[in-house]
Amino acid sequence: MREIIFLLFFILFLFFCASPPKDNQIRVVSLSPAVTEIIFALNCEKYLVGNTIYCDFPEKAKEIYKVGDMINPSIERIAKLKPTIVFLTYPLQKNIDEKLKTLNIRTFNSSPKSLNEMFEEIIKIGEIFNKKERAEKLVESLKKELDEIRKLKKRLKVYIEINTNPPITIGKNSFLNDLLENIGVENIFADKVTDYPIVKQEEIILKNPDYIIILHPKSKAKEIASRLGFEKVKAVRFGKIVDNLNPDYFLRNSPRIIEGAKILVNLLNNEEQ
Amino acid sequence: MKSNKIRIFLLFLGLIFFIIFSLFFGADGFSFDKTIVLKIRLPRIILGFLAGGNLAFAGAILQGILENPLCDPYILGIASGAAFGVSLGYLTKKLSYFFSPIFAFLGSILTIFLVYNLAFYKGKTNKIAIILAGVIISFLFSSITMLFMVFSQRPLNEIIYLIMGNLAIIFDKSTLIIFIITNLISVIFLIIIYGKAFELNCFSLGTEVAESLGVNYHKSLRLFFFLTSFIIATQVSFAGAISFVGLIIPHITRFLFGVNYKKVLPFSFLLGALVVIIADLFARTIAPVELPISMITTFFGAPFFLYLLKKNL
Repeated sequence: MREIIFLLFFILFLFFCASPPKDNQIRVVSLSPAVTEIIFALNCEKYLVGNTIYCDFPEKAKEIYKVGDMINPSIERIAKLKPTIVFLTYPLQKNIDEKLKTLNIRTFNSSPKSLNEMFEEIIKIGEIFNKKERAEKLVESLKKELDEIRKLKKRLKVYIEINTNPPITIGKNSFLNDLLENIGVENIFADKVTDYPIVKQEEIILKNPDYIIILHPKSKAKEIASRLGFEKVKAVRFGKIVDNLNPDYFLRNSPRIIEGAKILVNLLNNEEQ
Repeated sequence: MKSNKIRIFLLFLGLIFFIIFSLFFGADGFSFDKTIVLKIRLPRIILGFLAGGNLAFAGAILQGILENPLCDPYILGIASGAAFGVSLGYLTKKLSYFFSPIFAFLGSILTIFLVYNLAFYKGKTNKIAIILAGVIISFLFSSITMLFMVFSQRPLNEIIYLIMGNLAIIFDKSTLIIFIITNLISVIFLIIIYGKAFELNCFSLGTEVAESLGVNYHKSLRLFFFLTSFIIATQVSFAGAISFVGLIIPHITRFLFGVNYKKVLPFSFLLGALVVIIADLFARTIAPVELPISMITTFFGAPFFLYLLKKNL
């Protein structure tokens, strides 16, 4: 019994030894892997004091203090870092946004639906770090790169799969759909209004895509080709199933998307010649 | 008797120690920043204390009145009702996080009335009817919840965390007021039930014995049903469904303090509160991500219960 009471006092003593950090510079927490990439692209990583366990690019982002995952990060860890602003993404992190606001923590919602919105947001993020010029320069070079790779010669119909069971693809309002339009590729589900709609296998077969692009690690080309009824689909008949792309290049609204566009255009151009 | 006093002392000491410890101990060791302690950790601890306590208390009563040792508070379908309420709110698309406890509470109350109407038909009832009504309503609401979640196009995690139990609550003014009011009412109900501990003792001797001892079986059953359901509804609306506590803590309390409900009820409350506070301490500190609290309570609770069972057989 005496030991327990002693331990209690010892712990109370420890409280008084700890001291909170004190400084007035910019401190940001990023709950979105895409924004983490933007911050690194702007060379502002020294202001980044916390991110999520999914922030894995560039390599150095892994070393930054982790506040949790994207769905349920620890509010306590975020508050402890005393951030001047927290970057997050809707609709996934709406709850977190509301929680942080009651704690008087400023937030920035980054959920671009198109390339142009992404460019605008890069500039806004640049303004937060007082690096507007650097951000404008980055956007300009990205736009230039995008212009150079623009347009495929032939209009191809593509099915993008981001989950196997149930099959989830990209709709009209998704970020990736805008990229595909920019490089002249037709998304077979561009008529769906939701961002990431769940589709039926029969819809895929009926739409008969020229290409199937798999953006998740769960299934390989072989498995797709062996799905019942898929033998009629053009992409399967001509073996045009792509399964070796890194999804992060396409599903994150960060500067890497331009790199992704290049990869995609090169791949499709080479195949078509 | 002497060992009982030591157990009670240890229980109180443990509770006080862990409340203070949780208040200052966080993910990366000790910190006592004012916002973190008062606005993030304190609400969590209060919620954990009330949720754990109420759940264990409600579990003890249900096991008593329904004469079924496997009863847990969610058998009445209230957790599914809460999830149903929240998913209904999500259909409006723009429902703020702070309003979800209100919808959860309305959903729970709706469930209570449905189960009551199914189980207490024409003023007569039996225990099996209550359990069956609860289970069936629970399934019904689960299916409607799924339907609504598909329609509402909201991220599924919002409902999953309610179903799995989550103490990471932040209060704004409106939720805080509702939290205080509902919990005050449930504390009054706790006291009323405690005053009827004698009746619960009679119940545990069987229906006939209880009636021969002067207990009006149907009337008491109805009263206990309502009071307990309200207590569970309050808890589920804010903390979600924390599994295992309501089922196992009453049993552990009976092992430790005997079967008299005058002791089982208050000590179930305190032990439940202690266990949930400790579980939440683990949930928010041991991993870089926040773990679901039900996982912790079950993972550590099940082996401990098996140990107690083996020791006593």
